[in-house]
Amino acid sequence: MKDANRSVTMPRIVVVYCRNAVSSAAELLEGPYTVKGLNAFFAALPCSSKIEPSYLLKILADGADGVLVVACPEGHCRFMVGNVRAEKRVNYVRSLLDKAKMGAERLTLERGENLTEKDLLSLAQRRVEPLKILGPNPMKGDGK
Amino acid sequence: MMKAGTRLEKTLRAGQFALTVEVGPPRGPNPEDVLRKAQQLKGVADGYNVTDNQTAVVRMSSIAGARLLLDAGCEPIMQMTCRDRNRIALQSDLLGAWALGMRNCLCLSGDHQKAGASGKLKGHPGSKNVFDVDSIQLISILKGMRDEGVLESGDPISQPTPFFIGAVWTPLAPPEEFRVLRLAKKIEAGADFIQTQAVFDIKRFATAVKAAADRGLTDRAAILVGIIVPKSARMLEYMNANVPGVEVPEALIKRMAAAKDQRQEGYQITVELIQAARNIPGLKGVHLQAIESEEVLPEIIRAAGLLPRPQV
Amino acid sequence: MIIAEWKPLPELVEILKGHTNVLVVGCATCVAECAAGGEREVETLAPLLQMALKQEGRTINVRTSTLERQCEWEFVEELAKVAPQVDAIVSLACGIGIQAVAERFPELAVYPGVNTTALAIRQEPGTWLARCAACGDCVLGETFGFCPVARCAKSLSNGPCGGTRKNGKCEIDENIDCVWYQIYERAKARGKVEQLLKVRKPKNWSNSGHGGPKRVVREDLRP
Ligand code: SF4
Ligand code: SF4
Repeated sequence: MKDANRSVTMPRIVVVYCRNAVSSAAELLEGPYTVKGLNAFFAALPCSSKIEPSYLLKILADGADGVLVVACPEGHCRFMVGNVRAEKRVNYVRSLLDKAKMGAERLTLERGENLTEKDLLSLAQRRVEPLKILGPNPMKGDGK
Repeated sequence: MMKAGTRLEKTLRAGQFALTVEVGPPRGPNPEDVLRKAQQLKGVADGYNVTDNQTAVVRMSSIAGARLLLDAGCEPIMQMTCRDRNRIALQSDLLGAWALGMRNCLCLSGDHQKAGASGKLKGHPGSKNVFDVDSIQLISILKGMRDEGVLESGDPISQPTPFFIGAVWTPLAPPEEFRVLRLAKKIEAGADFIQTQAVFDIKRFATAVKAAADRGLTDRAAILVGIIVPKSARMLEYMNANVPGVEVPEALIKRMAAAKDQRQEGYQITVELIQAARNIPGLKGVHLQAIESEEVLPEIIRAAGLLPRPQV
Repeated sequence: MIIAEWKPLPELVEILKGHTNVLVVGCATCVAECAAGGEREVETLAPLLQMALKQEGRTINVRTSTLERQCEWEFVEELAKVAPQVDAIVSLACGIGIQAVAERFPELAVYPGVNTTALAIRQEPGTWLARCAACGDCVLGETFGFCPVARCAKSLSNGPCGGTRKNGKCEIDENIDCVWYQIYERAKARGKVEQLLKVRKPKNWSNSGHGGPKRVVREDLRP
C-alpha cells in the first residue's frame, strides 16, 4: 500500500543522457542538481548505447527512485543504431523491473536533440509526478 | 500368399476397391461410445481405423478400442504411434494386440505432444516424448516379427505375429519430390497398404500416384486415398491453411461457401471425390474420415456406390 | 555451446528467502555466449534479486563473481576465498558448472539460477538454436551435416513426417526449419538424393544418457 506521507517526499532521479543529444553550446550538466521541486543527478554518456542493464539496475538498487535515459532521436545516432539498442535495453530492463515488482515506470527513455540545460531539467522534472505516485524506492537506505 | 488374412487384405487381393473408415476412440472409458459407433458402421467398410491418441489428446487406447470393435463385428486397423512408447513397449503391445485378435496395424510417427493443447484442451505439452524409433523403423519391426518371428534385437519370439502392415503417405507435403521416395522407403521397410493424408485436389494427387506407379510402388503396396468429409467452407479453409500436406482447391472452397446446405454439399463433394479417385490408375481404395460424426458415413458410402461391401 | 536461460525470478526469490549473504556466480564461457550467465548477466541479476527480495521484506547482501569456466576445478577453486563469507550460491552456469560448485563447496546451499536447455549455436544476434542432443551415435555424415536428432521435433531417422509446412518450417513451430526439409534440399543440391533412400535401422541410444550416466576413460591420461 502506498504511504501517503512518504509519497510526497521528493523522488531522487538519475538522468543518464547522451552527449550528442544536447546542443553543443549548452553547458554539460554533471552531478547532483537539487533545486526546489527537483532532486536529480546527471551523468553524460558518449552514446546512449553505452547503457548496460546492470548499470541501470544498480542505480535503482542503490536507492534512486527513478532513472531517465535521454537518447538522440531515432535515426539520428552518431553511432548508427546506438539509440535503437538503448531503447531495446531500456525495454528489457523495464520488463525485469516489473518481474521484480519494482514497477517498470522507474525507468524511462526520452528522445531529443539540441537539448539545452533547461530542456534536460524539464525532462527530469516531468518524471517527478509519476515517481511520486509510484512511491519511494524500497531500497532507499540500503545503499552503500 | 496371405500375410495376415484380414478382410482388408482379402478385399485387396480379390482386386476389389477397398474401403476403410476411421473411428476415434472416446475421451473416456465408456465402451458404449465405441459400441455405438460400431453399430452405426458395421458392414459398411473393410477395415476400421482406431486412432492412437491422435493429435496427442488422451483417449481410450487404440488396442482396447480395436478389441471392442472386433467384438462388435468390425475388423479394426489398430493405429500405433512412436511418440509414447519405446521399442520394448511397442513390441510388447504388438504381442498383446495380436493375442487379442488384432491383425491390421497402421504405423505412424505420431503427432507431437505440443499438438494436444488446442481449443479448450490443455493437453500434455509438458510430457516427454519417446520417438525411440520412427514410423519406418516400426514398420520393419512388424515385418521382422511377422516374417522372421524375431524382435528388433534379433531375439526370437515363440511364434510370429502376422500383421497386415499399414503406413501413411502425405504426398502433397513439402518437399514434394521427396514424398514419393519416402513412400518407397515405407514399402521397402514392409508396408503392405498405405492410407494417405486427406486429399481434396484429385488432380495433384493423381500426379503423385502416377509418380508412385512409375516406381512400381502401386504394385508393391495398396494405396488407399484419404478423404475427409468436409463440413463447411470454413473447415476447408482452415485445413488448407493449417493442416500440412492438405491442399484444397480454391474452387472447392468457393463451391462450398456458395452452397445453401453446406453439410449436404459436403456429402456430395465426398461422393464426387471418391468417384474421381476410383479412376486414378493404380489406386486401390479409399480411407474415409468424418471427424466426430461417423454416423454420416453409411449414407455417403451408399451414395458412392460402394455398398454392399464385397464378400471375401 | 551449452545454452541456458534464467529461471523465472519468483522461483529464485522463493529459493533465496532464507538467506542473507548470497554469491551470484557466472561463467565466462558458454553461458556468457548465450547471454544467460556471463559477467553482464551476473551483474544484472544481482541487483535485480536484491530489489525483488526487498519487495518481500528481505534485505540480502549480494556478492558477484564470474569464473573463466565453471566446469573446471581449477577455476572453481577461485571461489574458495569468498565462499566462507556467504550462506548460499546462485550459479548462472550450465548444469555442469553448477554441480562443480556444489561439489567443491558441499557445506553451502548451491542453487541453479538458470535452466540449462540445449547444445546450440547462435543463429543470429539474440537467437540461438539447438544443434546436437549428444545422442552418442552421430549420423551427421549421412544427413548432410544437419542433425535430425536434435533438430527434428520427433527425432526422425528416415525423412520428414507429414507435417512439414508449405514454407519448409516444422509443423510444431513456424519459426523453426523442418530439418528434414533442409536435409533433402542439401542432398538435392549435392546430387545425392539416393543417399536418403536407405532405410535406416533403429538407433543405438546406449552410448548416450540412455545407457546410464556416460563415463569416458582414457587410460593414457589417467594418473
Ligand atoms: S546425430 Fe547425435 S551426436 Fe550427431 S549432432 Fe545429432 S545428436 Fe549430436
Ligand atoms: S516437420 Fe520436419 S522437423 Fe518437424 S517433426 Fe516433422 S520432420 Fe521433424
